[in-house]
Amino acid sequence: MPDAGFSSAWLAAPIAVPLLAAIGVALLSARLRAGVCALGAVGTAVASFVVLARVAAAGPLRHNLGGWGAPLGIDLFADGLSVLMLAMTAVLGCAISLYASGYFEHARERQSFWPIWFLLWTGLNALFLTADLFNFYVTLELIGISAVALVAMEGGPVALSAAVRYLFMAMLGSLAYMGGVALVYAQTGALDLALLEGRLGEGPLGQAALALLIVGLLAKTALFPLHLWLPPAHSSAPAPVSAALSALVVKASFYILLRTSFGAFSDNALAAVGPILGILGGLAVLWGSLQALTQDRLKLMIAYSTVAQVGYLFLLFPVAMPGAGDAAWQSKAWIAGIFHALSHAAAKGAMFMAAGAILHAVGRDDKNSLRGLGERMPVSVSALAVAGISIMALPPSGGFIAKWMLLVAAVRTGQWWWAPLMIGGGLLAAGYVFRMVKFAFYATPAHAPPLHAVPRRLEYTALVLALIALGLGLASVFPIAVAAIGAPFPENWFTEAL
Amino acid sequence: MAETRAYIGRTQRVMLAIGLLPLLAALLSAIGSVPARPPNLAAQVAARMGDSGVTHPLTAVLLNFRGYDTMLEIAVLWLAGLGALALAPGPSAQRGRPHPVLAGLLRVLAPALVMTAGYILWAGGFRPGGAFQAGAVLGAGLVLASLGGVVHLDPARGLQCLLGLGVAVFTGVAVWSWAQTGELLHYPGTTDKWAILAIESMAALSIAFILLTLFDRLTSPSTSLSTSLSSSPPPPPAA
Amino acid sequence: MTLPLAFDVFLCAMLLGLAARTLFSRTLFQGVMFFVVYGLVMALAWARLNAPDIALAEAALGAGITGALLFSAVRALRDRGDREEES
Repeated sequence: MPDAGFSSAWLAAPIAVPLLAAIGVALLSARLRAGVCALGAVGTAVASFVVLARVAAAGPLRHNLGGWGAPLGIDLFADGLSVLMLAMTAVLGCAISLYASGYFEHARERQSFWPIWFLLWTGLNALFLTADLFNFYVTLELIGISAVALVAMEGGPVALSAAVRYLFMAMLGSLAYMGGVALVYAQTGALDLALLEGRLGEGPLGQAALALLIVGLLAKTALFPLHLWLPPAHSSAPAPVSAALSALVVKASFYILLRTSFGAFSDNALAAVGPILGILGGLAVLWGSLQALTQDRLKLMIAYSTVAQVGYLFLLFPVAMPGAGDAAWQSKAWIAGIFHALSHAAAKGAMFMAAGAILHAVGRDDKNSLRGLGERMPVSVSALAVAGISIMALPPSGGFIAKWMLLVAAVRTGQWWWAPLMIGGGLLAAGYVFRMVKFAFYATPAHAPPLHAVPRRLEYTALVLALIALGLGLASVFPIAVAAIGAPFPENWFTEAL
Repeated sequence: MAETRAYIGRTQRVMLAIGLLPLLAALLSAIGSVPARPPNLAAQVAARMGDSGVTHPLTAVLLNFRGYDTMLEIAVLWLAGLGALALAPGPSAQRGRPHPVLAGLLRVLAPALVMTAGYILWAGGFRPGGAFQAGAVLGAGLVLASLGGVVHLDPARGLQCLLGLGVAVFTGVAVWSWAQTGELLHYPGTTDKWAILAIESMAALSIAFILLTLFDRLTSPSTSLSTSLSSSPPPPPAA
Repeated sequence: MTLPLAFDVFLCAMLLGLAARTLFSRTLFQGVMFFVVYGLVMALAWARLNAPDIALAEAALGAGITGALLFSAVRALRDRGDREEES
């Protein structure tokens, strides 16, 4: 859409700014690092919100990179779903950058972290903004390898073996995805999502392609039973990295699946795949929650909670797929899934950051070392508890809105059997959050060692994110309206659903 | 000297292979149903070759039509180098005097590899070749040279600049073309050939040094990574 | 069967055989050795597919640098085994 004041080329800004920041922070002298990092983080966030504002005002945008246009070239594309993910990454990215600026103590860690972190951010933004099936693969590689490098930078044997396991899973996932893309191209001669509309999954070749694509993406999203790599990797990484992995990285491959299945998949394929994804999601909710309930370390408990919350994301597939029942409620389930991704990002980021502050202060994060922290580290414990409200899906949190919409949509489309699962998952979440947080309210042990000083910004960043997760429930109208922009459902369904 | 056996026993490997055979059969049967002349974009590539600045279709696709993919791929390679440096930041081990055979081989092979790399790079414009292949050959030459003690890798800022050169030039060209034409990676006018040549040669150089860094960081006996790997017990089974 | 076709069939058989030997070798050292040979034969296969540039890259990366990295990994594991036996 031609417009004097706004060129569609601005879609490239949220990708170019963090890439330039990564290059700058690696190549310029260490004295300039703090400035480059601050500029990069703020600049990326501003670029992301400019794109969000534009899409919210004028609808979906498409940009032909290099002026070629699909199918020859690669197109960037942004609709409501993309800009919400972009905004989520911008908020979490700024919080993680701020947190990391106070977290790393050694110059060597700072030198390793910053360029890789900005490349991870580049990869996430590039993934949310592309319209090309092969370009997804390139961005997945950027995200996967930077995530593995960030897990491994801690350097100890536990982190290294977790990173290696993560690397193997990420590589297998990429390989499967890549094989799927090759088969799609062999069948259709196209890679652009708009050109593939409704064509994925036809015939034996299409089914094989789809199977490879889906398995690859599920491995990267850590959906049960492909989740085994996640808890060690997410729990042994440095805290800002754990926050980025749990809040953002698992959402990236989920986004590809959501983007392609409602649009590029044929209706038959989606109807066949949807229930399977739902069942796996349900198993993930149960298994992840039960595992979280038995963990004795705070970070492991949070990591298993991610396994469970990822499961909720997949419940939207059976409820929103075509033929599932009342159309208005299908679109509501779809929005609920997106909203869950947003609120989980804020809540989980807050929890890992608070856990990192506690680990930093106490030196350990087993449940007994939490004793007395309610009075000694009130900000971090509040962040854990407030974020826990959203994970447990209590009102008025974002997690409550998301799960409530999904639950109602499931019942209204005649799939009531998901309802007890969702409620049960919420109860289990309450169980594992309370079980951990209650230790913080026990009396401080008499011979408790003194706490290490924690930079204030670590604790307050976590608290702000937790409050965002809580507040998302009160400010849900705008994100829901944005999610409806360019959604793969007729517009009027959304007005009904709202 | 203990013989190093694989962690996964032979019987397990055979079982795994047998278990994977049905999947392979399914995949092969799917590939068998690919049409004899699958739909592709060859005709469209051929139609726009005149606007690409090069005469070899592969290079036109990689550096112009889908140059954005390649820009991010070069960032991925850079990331691999950064990751290796993050894992093992210490100084390189001093390697002893090279074996006389290696030294002799090096004297013959090194110039030949540099020449080959340069040729492959230039050839990319009109026949199979380009930055990735040239960088691989040059990187192999650098690894040989480091084994021979001719090249010594020092993980300082100079190396950081060499590793990041390719992605920096590519991003620079992207931003410059954006300023010139209003479209990212739309090389203005007849600058396309020179833009591609600049990107490819810098990328080849960076790729070569990234490969050398990977080799040097992961094999230096003094780095924290190899000591950590060789002193740690095998990873505990998954929870 | 024409001569080029016979050569291609031979290459394919070699690749499959080498892959199997790599997977089922008794020691890691042997496995890495077969892997390097596999890389070289693979380079030949690329050359037969009219991609001499990829053949060179495969020889440099698949056989050369990857082989060197794997050999050094085997050495690191062997050194650890030696230390564990001494202690």
